[in-house]
Amino acid sequence: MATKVAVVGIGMTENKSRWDLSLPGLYRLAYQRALEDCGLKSEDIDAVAFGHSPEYFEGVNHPEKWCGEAVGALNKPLFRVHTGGTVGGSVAIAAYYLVASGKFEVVLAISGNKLNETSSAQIGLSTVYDPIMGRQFAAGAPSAVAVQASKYYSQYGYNEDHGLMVAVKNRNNALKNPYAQLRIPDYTLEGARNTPMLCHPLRLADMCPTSDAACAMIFAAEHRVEAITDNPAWVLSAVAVNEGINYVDRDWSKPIGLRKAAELAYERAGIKDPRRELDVVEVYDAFSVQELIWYEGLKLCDWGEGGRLMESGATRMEGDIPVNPSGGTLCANSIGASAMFRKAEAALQVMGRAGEHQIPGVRRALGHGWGGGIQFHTIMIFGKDKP
Amino acid sequence: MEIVKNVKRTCYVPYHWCYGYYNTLFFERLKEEKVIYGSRCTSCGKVVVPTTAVCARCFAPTEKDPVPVSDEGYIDSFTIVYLPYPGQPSTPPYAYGMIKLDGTSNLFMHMIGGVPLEEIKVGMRVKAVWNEERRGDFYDIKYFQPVKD
Repeated sequence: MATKVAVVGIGMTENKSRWDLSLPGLYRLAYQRALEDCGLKSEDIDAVAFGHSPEYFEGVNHPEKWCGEAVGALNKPLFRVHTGGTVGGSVAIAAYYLVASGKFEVVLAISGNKLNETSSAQIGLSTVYDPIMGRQFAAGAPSAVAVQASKYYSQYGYNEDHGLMVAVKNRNNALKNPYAQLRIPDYTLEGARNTPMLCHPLRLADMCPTSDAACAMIFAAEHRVEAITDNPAWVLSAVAVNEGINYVDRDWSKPIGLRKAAELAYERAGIKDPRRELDVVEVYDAFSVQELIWYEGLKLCDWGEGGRLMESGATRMEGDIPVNPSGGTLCANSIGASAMFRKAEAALQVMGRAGEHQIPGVRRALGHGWGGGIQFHTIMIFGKDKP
Repeated sequence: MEIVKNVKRTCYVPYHWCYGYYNTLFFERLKEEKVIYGSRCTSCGKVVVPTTAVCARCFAPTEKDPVPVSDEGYIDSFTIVYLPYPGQPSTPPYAYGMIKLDGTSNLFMHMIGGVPLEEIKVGMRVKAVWNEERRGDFYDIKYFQPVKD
């Protein structure tokens, strides 16, 4: 039987373009804030799970080599994890596994990136395609997701307004989140429609910003939790599922990997009806339309119903299943930290500490992450009550 | 005194990437025969393009002999790229997408051209327009052009 595990401390940096901190400095800030959050010291941390997305963004390799000291990794194990945009989620799950295994008691998960250090994040993103079979047509991330959007909209008779509705919802939510980068007052559907078309059917409004940020979470074993905090977020389930790139009958608008991850996560958390039993959800919406597809993958509605769920208002802050009250990845995307922000936001909601964007009375919250060729998915579900 | 806050440097590293057996086969045939080849899975029996060693769904090996496939199919999904950024295959605006070639069961990515961009629709029938000068790469096919049903 695995050890029960809770999140006891969280440290976030603000998402923005920042020139006051080096990459290790950014990691150190998130790390220090997580320690201060739960009153622990470096020597209390048994191991570090370290994340960073493609090194191309900062043009430097192997960052765990020269950022380890910034996160207190002296005389303890440090494990590097890498799954592209999902990395923050994979790192959090790796840290959870280390504690759940019973081999470590208190483990730090930390992940980040400074996307603004490159002259072009899109060149970096282009290098993630197969050099022989992928790079000749695809370039950067927006065009790949535009292809996914085209499939989704045409398959179910939706149009670009459905993605833009997500943008309007999340940008308005972000006004309540001091860690979000895009905090634009009076963001309207009309305004979103008037932003330039970048990769049809996606407009500027459909896309995330380029952020520098790091996020840290501290996971502790059951017998250590009480001494650290009286307000933990218990891990009810943690699941990572990979999907292929171009397998037989792949449908980009129907993420079978996410569906499988969701089913496993709900089963392990004892959840039968996610729409009713979850109080809040944070999904990795690097592009607006993806939030609709993830609703379906997460079984908040049936396949093809994502656009209608959005129209119903159910996922707004005051709806019955709020999604991305933080503003989501659409308002802050450092890539390296983004999937962990989703988990950390979900944990903060359970702790009742999400600030202005807190949803009242949260007992269960889900945080999702996506990365790679729209292929890696991570889910963590947190609960107020010990499982 | 000027405050030094950052440094600008460039990394430039040339690479050469190995095709491997199946990619070599695919590009060789493209160049010499003007034919797109795929592989048939020995388990599910479906054909995937380009030629490959294993079916990415069943993880079963593919049949030894590659399978010639049609250079016609339909647009499964596409995008029109207006945003210029480094590393692009063409100058915006241009269109590319996922093409389901007839008789195959996965998606073939390529440029869509020979048509006003605003007329491109999901589900449209398309056919490969070949380059007469072929070098053994994806651009031995210029693009896929919409054709009448």
